[in-house]
Amino acid sequence: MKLRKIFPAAIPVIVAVLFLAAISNNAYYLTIFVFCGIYVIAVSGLDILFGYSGQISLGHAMFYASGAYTSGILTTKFGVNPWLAILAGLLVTALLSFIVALPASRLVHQFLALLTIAAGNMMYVFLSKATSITNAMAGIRQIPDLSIFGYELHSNLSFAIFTLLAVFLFLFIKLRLINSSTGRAFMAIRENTTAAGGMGINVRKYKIMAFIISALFTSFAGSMYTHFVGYISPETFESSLSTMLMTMLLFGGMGNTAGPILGAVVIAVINESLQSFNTYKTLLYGILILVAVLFMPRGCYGLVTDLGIKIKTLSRKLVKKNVKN
Amino acid sequence: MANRILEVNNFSYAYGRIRAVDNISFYVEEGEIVTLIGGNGAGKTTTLRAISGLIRGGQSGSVLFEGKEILGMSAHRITGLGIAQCLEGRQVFPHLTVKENLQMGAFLRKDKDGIAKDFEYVYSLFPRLKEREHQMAGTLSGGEQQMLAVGRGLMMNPKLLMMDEPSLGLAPIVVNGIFDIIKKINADGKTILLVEQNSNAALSVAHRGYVVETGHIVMSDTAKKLRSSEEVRKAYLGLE
Repeated sequence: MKLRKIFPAAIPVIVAVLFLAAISNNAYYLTIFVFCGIYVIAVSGLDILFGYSGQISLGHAMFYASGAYTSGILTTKFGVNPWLAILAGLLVTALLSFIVALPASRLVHQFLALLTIAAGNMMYVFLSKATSITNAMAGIRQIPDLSIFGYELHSNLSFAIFTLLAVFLFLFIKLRLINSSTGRAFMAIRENTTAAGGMGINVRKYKIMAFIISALFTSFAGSMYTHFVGYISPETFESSLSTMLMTMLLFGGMGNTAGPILGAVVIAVINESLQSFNTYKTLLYGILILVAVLFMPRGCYGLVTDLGIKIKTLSRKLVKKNVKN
Repeated sequence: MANRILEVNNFSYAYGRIRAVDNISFYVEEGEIVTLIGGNGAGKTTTLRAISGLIRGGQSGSVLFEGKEILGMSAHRITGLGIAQCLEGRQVFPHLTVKENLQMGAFLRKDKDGIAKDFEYVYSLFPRLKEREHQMAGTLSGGEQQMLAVGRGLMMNPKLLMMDEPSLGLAPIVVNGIFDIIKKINADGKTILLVEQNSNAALSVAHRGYVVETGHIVMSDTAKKLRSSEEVRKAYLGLE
């Protein structure tokens, strides 16, 4: 019990370390930092869906895309304020995720997985074919920077600070949600859908709700990506992005706060350091998923907590021995 | 005559072409313990699950709760009306703590004082649950999980508590404990509909009983009379 409390306390430490990298003001490290942050938000969202409410999504790239593209299109074609565009992105994503969740909330296991894959692919096809709206494969360029009170988040450092704040905000929202009655309803559905219905939980409603909330996190991450990179094109939002988000979640460990952070950061960093092996990256993902599933079913988080417990019991035994002697 | 809190009239349930329950009628009065007894596949669980809305699609007939038709309503709405069901095979939330499981029972309730009071009530009935408050429900023993399922049902503060096979898979001594608790809960004012294969134990606590056989009610009487009836003794109590 204690350990579960201590571990989340380690999060600020991890963040602080990353923040030090930020202060170093090395553009490369800062870029990695921002990407880590973006993924932490997206994966935390996926965790709300899969980790807490037990619904799998292998098409989350579509919500990342709906946020990213709404931001990109509204700011470049219509000159909308970036913040309003992000908000619009959230609205579009809410609608999109509601439409997907309507049939999805009736499905479980492999059927749900297939539906989300199909929906994700439909989004990709839309992005790459709807020339008049998304500019197809040419992508959208010259997306303006975010600005706060007239200060443009143009430098990597300023965007990194913004990322840090955004991560904190979304983790806070997630914690509040999970500890609310809504969060308990999600978990009840994950644990035992029949019994959840018997508790008076409107299973369908809460399943849809989990879907939408999860998509909103990912949408915001998508919008951040758009404004950070300044350019979006369909290939970013291929199904491999959905796979990557799921890999991060499984690798980090789901159903807690620290897992998605660990997973997103570790995989993003590995991803980056393997840039030169481009073709083999997918192979590496495969191996990572295998390792995660076979040897750490509860992800890095589970591994760390299990180790902690082992060390604790071992040290207790040692203490007992010493007392006896 | 007391109020009939639950009235089931000409109720049938079919899974596709297989009729699990065929035209049964029974009622529960306020303050009673009524039991449906009978062997495997008699249709007892189907009846309970259809009343609580956990299964839908094959029902016909009528189920009145406090005079209101509830047949075909969704589970969460029926729960909201005041019917709680302790599911067969316990069905706790294994990765939530004992306390969280109990909290789930109070999901629809807003009265904080009432909830706190019921927490105390449940813990007074089952001191063991209090001891294991922060333990994952999945790590409890079978008897403790049954206690938790009953406790969770009570946390809903239901007008009618329906229990499906509370004795299933439990050691005899634990079974006795559970039935003592059922009696006590009833004495404290709860109306209970009890489905059991352990006919002897069920009839020993119930006021009235119905014997269900392959989807039909073949006998109904006071529990006392059923217990002394020749047929029931032979078929269900294993006595000569």
